[in-house]
Amino acid sequence: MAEFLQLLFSGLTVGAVYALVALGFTLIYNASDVINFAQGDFVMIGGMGTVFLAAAGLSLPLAALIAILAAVAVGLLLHRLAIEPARGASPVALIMITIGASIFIKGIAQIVFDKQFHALPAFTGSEPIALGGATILPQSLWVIGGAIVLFAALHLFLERTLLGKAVLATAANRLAARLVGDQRQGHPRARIRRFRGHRRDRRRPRHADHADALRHRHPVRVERFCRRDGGRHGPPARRRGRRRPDRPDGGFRGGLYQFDL
Amino acid sequence: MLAGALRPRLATLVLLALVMAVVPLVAPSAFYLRVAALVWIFALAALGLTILMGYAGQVSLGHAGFLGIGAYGVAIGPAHLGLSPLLSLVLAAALSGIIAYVVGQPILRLKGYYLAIATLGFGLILALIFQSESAVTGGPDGMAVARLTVFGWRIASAMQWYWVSAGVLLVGAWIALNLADSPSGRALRALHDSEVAAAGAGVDVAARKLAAFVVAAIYAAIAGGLLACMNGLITPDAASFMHSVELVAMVIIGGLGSVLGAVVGAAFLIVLPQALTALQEYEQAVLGLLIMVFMIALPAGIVPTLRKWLMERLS
Repeated sequence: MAEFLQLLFSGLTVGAVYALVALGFTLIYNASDVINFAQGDFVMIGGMGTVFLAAAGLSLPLAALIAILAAVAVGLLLHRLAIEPARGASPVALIMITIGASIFIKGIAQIVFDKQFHALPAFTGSEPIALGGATILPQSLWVIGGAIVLFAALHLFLERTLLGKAVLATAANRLAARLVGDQRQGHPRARIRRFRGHRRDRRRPRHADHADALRHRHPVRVERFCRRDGGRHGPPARRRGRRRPDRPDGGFRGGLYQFDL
Repeated sequence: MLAGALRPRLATLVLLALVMAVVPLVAPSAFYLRVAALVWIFALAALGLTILMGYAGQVSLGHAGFLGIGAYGVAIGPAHLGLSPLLSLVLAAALSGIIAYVVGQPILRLKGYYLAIATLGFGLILALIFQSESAVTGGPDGMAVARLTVFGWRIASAMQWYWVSAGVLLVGAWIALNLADSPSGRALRALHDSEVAAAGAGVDVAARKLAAFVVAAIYAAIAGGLLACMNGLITPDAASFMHSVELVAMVIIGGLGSVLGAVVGAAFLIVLPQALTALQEYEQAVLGLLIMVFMIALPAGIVPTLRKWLMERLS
């Protein structure tokens, strides 16, 4: 039992770290369809950056924060300079780009940092805590607790903020998300509600899928799709009477019939 | 009509043979010949991979594992089993084909990224086996390899290895070029474009994919065996993930599905680090940067882009 607990604790600790890395991996894949082979290098930047900044005299939290920002900057540069110019390339080509980026980052890191092993002091001491016959380090508790906090924060970000929902929408269907994003009307919350599938007009027949909708031929919807999204003309300059809510969702609803949103 | 069909294949082979004949004349020392022999050997492995990735459209991120099987086969045969190196090479290639046949059947059902990760895992398994079975494989330090003797003729000098590897590559290229234009090759390209359509046209998709996988594994094993015999030493990182990545990079940078592309890609990735040693510390950074730049600027690869450029200029 004690051995099992010991293995459980160490497994949870290491697993929490890997889970965080994997979360970043999944976010990138869902948003950009790229398997990021340079993900481990971001881990390295965070770690080595903290070590070197702490050695330069900064306090540990500040050093960690700056190292995290540095990793974010590297990720943004990687996306802007390497992934975006190659948009539309085959999956293998994108993998090769990230592998090249990984080699590049490793090469630069060897110059900026060094090639030695490094360690950081534990946050709150290194006295093991006895727990049910096994021991756990305080640092493990920090790791697991920090990971749980980050998971909760990510969940809140994705589910409760507009930007997070936009990320989820892009992951679900990029074209549809772009269609919704193009709409100039409507309160943002209403836009998201519509994307999520709340139908304003219950009288319109629901169709099983896109093909079915086309079969029943809704020229009005198609026309609205063409008008609403063809050019960037936007709404008419002047409106008579009260401002009527427009039906900009017709276009993307036609496209979204095939999805279960 | 037959001449028309033969001409592109013949042209490629003649071009390759010309380059192979010219290099020893301009090489200043034996070191350059050794690098060139290395290029031919890795071009052979890349050729097998381009058959799998370019013709059949599958991905293999664990191909260095098969290279390792060939290399370790040639090492273990004379050392532990008392066979001649040449026989060990043949047996190692056959073993690699058999392992590819057995492993390929479940793995090749996957597609895209899943296939890439599955082959990556398989390559890692092979590398781990080579590293941990120290009794048989000599562990992380590797083992020495007996020199290759072909019918009593010992191949040891750089010049001899240059001609041996060049000859084997020429034969391999001839086979690959013939495959491209044969019904099998057309079946492979059909299933690359659309598996459903190919199946509808009567192509046995699973069997063809497996055949391409086995052929690629045999090419890699022969290349690995030659590598081990040339170097006289083999270590487990011949089968490492980095080598697999290098092979894939050779294929993609040179040009997917192109025989010359495999050779150009191999030359690029083997000659370049030699040329970059002048940069010392910056070598890895510049290598990564060049891979990225080539993949972004020439997504189709060097040889197809050159070919297109030449066609546009000549027409």
